[in-house]
Amino acid sequence: MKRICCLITMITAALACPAWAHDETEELGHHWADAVYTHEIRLQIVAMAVAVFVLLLGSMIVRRLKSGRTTQ
Amino acid sequence: MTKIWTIAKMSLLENSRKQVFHVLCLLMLTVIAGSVLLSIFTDGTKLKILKDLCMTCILFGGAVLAIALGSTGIPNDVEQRTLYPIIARPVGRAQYVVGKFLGTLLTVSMGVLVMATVFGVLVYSFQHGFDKFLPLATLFALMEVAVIAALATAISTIATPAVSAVVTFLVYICGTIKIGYFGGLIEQATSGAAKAVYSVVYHALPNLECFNLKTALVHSDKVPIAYLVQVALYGLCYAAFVLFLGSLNFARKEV
Repeated sequence: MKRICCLITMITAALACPAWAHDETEELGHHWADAVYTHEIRLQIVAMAVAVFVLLLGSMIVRRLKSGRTTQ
Repeated sequence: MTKIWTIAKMSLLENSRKQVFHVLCLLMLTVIAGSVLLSIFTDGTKLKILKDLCMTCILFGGAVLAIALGSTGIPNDVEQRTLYPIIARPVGRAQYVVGKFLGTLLTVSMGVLVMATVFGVLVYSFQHGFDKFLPLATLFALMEVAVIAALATAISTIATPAVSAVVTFLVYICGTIKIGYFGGLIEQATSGAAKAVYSVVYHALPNLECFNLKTALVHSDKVPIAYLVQVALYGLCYAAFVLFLGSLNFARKEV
């Protein structure tokens, strides 16, 4: 199992090499100047907040339903 | 909070005794110390290559350490049955998961701080002055480590150590090339289903590239403070969110 996992890791790392070596290397790394990064950060923070809210609300509803059944 | 801190201290002790921690730290320190041997370049270029190489070592070494230590902590406790006396006490499962994460983070931070100190000394000897941006770049490298450690800890609650290490490593690679590579894939996708799948994967992956301030350090670029604050907030939120999901899963798990 460990050998298979190591093999998969090595193959994936090798396959990912061309992705790192893409064009426009001058601009690579200056992510603070790229609006896509800022937009993605904000979007993910909002998505995480929504997911936590939905999970908490869902668990609250399930608890209320369960407690309602036990009192009946 | 005391319970979390106790578990974190235990985890720190356990992790700092592991061979993988010593071997990786020594390997990265050797590469950092060996980077002074690049004597074929002129002084300015040498300093840039030194900063580039050392920062890459800190980022990559920290990530690999976080994966190796984070993905083995909880499964090892379950396998060696050291988890039972802990959960028999009034300790919540979420507190246990957070404690384990903090232990991993503290251990990796120790290694990263040693690497950063050696790096700082080398930079001082080359440019005869302290680089003020170096502590900030190291702090953001530690934030990346925190996100990876949280991912490894959360994944280790559902998988074996080997599987969780591989999955976290894959997420680390994909998260590092997320916007440069996956962004292009979404644009190139022709079918709607493929575009939807790529979009879900793209938005779920952590944006690890934004913690990498290597280019700013090498070229002495200025990074807007507002951007740094956003990235720091994002790192905290992502790590907390992943730990929340891991704790939810671990709370329901039969051990």
